[in-house]
Amino acid sequence: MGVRPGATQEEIKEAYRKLVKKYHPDRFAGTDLEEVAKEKMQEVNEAYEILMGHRSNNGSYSDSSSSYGYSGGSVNIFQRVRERMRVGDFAQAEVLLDNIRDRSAEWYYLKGIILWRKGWYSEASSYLQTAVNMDPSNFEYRDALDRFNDSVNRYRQQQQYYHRTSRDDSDCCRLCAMLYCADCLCECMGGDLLTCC
Amino acid sequence: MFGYVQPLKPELKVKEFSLYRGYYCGVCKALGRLYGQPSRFTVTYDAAFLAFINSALTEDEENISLERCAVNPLRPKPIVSFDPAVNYAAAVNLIMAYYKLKDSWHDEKNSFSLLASWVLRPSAMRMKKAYPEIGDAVAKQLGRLAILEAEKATSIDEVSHPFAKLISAVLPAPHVKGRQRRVMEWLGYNLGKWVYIVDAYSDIESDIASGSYNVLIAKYEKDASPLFPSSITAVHVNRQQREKVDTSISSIREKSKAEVEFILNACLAEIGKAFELLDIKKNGALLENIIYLGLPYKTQMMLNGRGESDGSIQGFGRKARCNAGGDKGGL
Repeated sequence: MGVRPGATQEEIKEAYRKLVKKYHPDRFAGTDLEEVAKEKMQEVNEAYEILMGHRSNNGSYSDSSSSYGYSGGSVNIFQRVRERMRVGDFAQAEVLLDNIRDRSAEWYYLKGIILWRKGWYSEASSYLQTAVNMDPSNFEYRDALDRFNDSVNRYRQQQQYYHRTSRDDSDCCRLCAMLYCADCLCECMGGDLLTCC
Repeated sequence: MFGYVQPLKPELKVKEFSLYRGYYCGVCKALGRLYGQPSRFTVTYDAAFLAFINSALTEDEENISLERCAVNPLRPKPIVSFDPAVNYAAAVNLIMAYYKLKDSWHDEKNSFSLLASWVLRPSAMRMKKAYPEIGDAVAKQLGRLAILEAEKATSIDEVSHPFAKLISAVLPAPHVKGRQRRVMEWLGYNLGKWVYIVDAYSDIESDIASGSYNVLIAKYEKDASPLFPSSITAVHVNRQQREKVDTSISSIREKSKAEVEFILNACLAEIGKAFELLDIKKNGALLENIIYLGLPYKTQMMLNGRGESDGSIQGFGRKARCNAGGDKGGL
């Protein structure tokens, strides 16, 4: 967990919180990375429980797995596709799906999810959008589209994060400029902030 | 991978830059040692990245020595040598260069490429013997790509898929196993897709001029390519025709920009996420620079039609810094 030997409970909790934030599977939803993140999360949980000296699951992250097990339509074939997706066999699911002639909103939704997983972002976006347009009242489709857009847009936030934390030497210049301005203002009013200039 | 994967130099520390150079020189020396002196002409910075990221996953310190080389005979430079990641990157670099030359002979009938590919042939065979599954994967995916290009396919996701799969297969070195390998494969898939699309977008102009296939032209301007046959050289094209070409270039750029930007950002997001799940053992800051600064910088430069800059001098400009992600203020 990246804590030193003999760390206090507070330090362990802090490190745990950071790691949960970093590896939370929801951040990696939709792709192959989700499973890796879940495994990492599992390890972090185990380490945390050992370090805190108790084996209860209290307060530690527990998996709220989003399943494809939902059975809204009565059409059997879609359930078979969802079953394939649930066990991670996305290639077979796509083959099954491509053989279906009846292209309902659910078809577009499932195809969109599979394409997202495959890394076909532009196609995934239009399939998910089509599913939502065909059945605007369906929460599952809308939620998937939102999660997809969220996952694509997350990059910008990360970039800003990097910029905030990276070394930055312009603050010093800004401080000088502000002091200079403050000095000028004081001198206007008859006082003096920096006596040297 | 055509040299798009590079750090943003102005943000690098000097020691990080010389270490990166050390990997580049290490790949070059390894090429000479393992595949003969002519193969050293094929070295690219992409191979340096390949060596660097694979080496970062192992705890072993780099074996750095000061050596002279023919390009710089007077001052010895630090180079990373006898590193399995560097040797692997040299092999991948060679096989990619070999296929690229073969491809350019096939497309352009350029006799230099034929000669060069003929020179590299024995080394390429040696590489395929050492890494049979890598050689097979590269050949297979390039074959698929050739079929899609011959069909003049119009789906960006579909056409970029084989190249993405190719990079996904070559990015993790053989010593990377298990969960880390899965993450590297996903990172490679998205990196390959990014490279393919960046390359397609920056080649719109030359592909229209030569009448070559380009997925963006095929999708957004189905009648743009045969404006004038490739046998007529640019000198003979009259002004009217040239204006027509110019407008079609800018219209394809404009029309495709939204979709291209969307896919590229999605790829960058996935690359960033995959990177977070890697267990980086050393040199993390430089990799962060490449992934969070270098790639977005290239993306923005290319979308704004300035694909040729390498981020050295331009990186200091105010506008370039804004493009690279965030304005850092300053005076």
